[in-house]
Amino acid sequence: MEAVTLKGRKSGFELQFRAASSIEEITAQLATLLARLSADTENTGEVEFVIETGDRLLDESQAQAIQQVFAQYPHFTIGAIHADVAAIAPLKARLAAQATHLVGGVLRSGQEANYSGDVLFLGTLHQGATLRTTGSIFVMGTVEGLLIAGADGAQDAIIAGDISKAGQIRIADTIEIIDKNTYGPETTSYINDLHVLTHGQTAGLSELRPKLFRKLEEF
Amino acid sequence: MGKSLVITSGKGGVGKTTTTANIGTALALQGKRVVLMDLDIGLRNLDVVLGLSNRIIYDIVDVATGRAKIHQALIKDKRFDDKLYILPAAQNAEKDSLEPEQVKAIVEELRPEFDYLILDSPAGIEQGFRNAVEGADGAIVVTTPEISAVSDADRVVGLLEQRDMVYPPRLVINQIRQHMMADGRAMDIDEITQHLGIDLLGIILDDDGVIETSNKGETVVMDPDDPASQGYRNIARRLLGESVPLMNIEQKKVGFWHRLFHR
Repeated sequence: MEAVTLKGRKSGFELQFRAASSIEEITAQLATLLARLSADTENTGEVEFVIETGDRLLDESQAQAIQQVFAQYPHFTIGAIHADVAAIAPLKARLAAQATHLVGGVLRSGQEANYSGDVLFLGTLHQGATLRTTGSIFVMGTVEGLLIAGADGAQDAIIAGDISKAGQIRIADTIEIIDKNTYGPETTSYINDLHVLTHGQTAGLSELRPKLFRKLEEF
Repeated sequence: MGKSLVITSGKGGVGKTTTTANIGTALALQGKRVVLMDLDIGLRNLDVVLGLSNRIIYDIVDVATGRAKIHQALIKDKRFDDKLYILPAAQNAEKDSLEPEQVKAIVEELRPEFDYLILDSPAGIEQGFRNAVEGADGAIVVTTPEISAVSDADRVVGLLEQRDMVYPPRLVINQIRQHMMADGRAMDIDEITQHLGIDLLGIILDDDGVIETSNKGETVVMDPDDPASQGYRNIARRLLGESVPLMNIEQKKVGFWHRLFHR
């Protein structure tokens, strides 16, 4: 099995590195391949290659080794390096941002819980405590403190559930002070087209935020 | 130009915050423009006592660090027209995230707009106390008729006298239980005042109404018939320069015939 395969695509040339081959094998084969190509294409001007590494993620030293091989042929350049896989840390962060976090326990006065993504709150939020997230908040527990949804400025974030005892709610850059006995046990708060924080019934959520609903269904 | 007064005690639990809220309310009822500043960073409760905690958006640390303008952080108490405002403390900042100079700057910024600036100091004599005192022209020392509170008040008076303020510190004796004072089981008002060696500004009787109203987010001063309320109203009038005689705290003497028939 070849460690390096050259393919011609509509968009240009593609070099496929076999993930199971060692990097030494790849650089060696790449060197001979490029030497042959260079001999064949002396007068064609600049040629750009896209590198596909498959299930391998090139680390810095490996990428450098590849670039060194290319450096010998000034008219060959690397367009991009693609892999079918990604590093774990950024993926984790992306998943975390998409996930709905289950949050329980007691948040006491002065405590602050920060999340990115949606939060399903099952705990107790005391007066003077803050629950902040970049996404939406779904309240199933008791809330007497401050709820902040869309903390990074997401206008489409909502807060749904019982906010009748909450002190204050904020969505993106809007703020509402909740006075006692204003709301019933089931409210959905959102920013309307006029950029005003307003409230509706949770039943109407599917029409209000269809995107959010689709996301919820996917889980 | 407004006067700034710090309410302090050294000891905790003697009623600094309650006194701040009530004197502030009483002055507002007298038509003065008052701002109450909570300097108990991390353990704020002036806003809770006044039932305004859900209105906090910015706090004093936000103002000091430039994240908010002072007028964004001030909370108006709608019950008193345009007379009473509070500047809340931060709840989740570090205790020493405020410097005395910053407090002084805030006081100076607010001074032209208010008649009275009342600074609610935290318990203790550390950074929070120094912050509160730095911004004040005068001090009101709160104590109770208990040896521990009086002893801490004495320490605080000593510290205040070193600072050479515009007005000398004055004393409020809080949580007075008439029956204990009458039969000599609690320290006497004169005894406390003489011991501390500062002028007595007023006395407040221990009263259930104080706790009851504060649990509802109100101040006892709003109820004119309450005995503690009268104490606070008298203090406010004395601060405004009126001469108001000290409240009579002696309970009615039980007569011979009463004793004879009501064993």
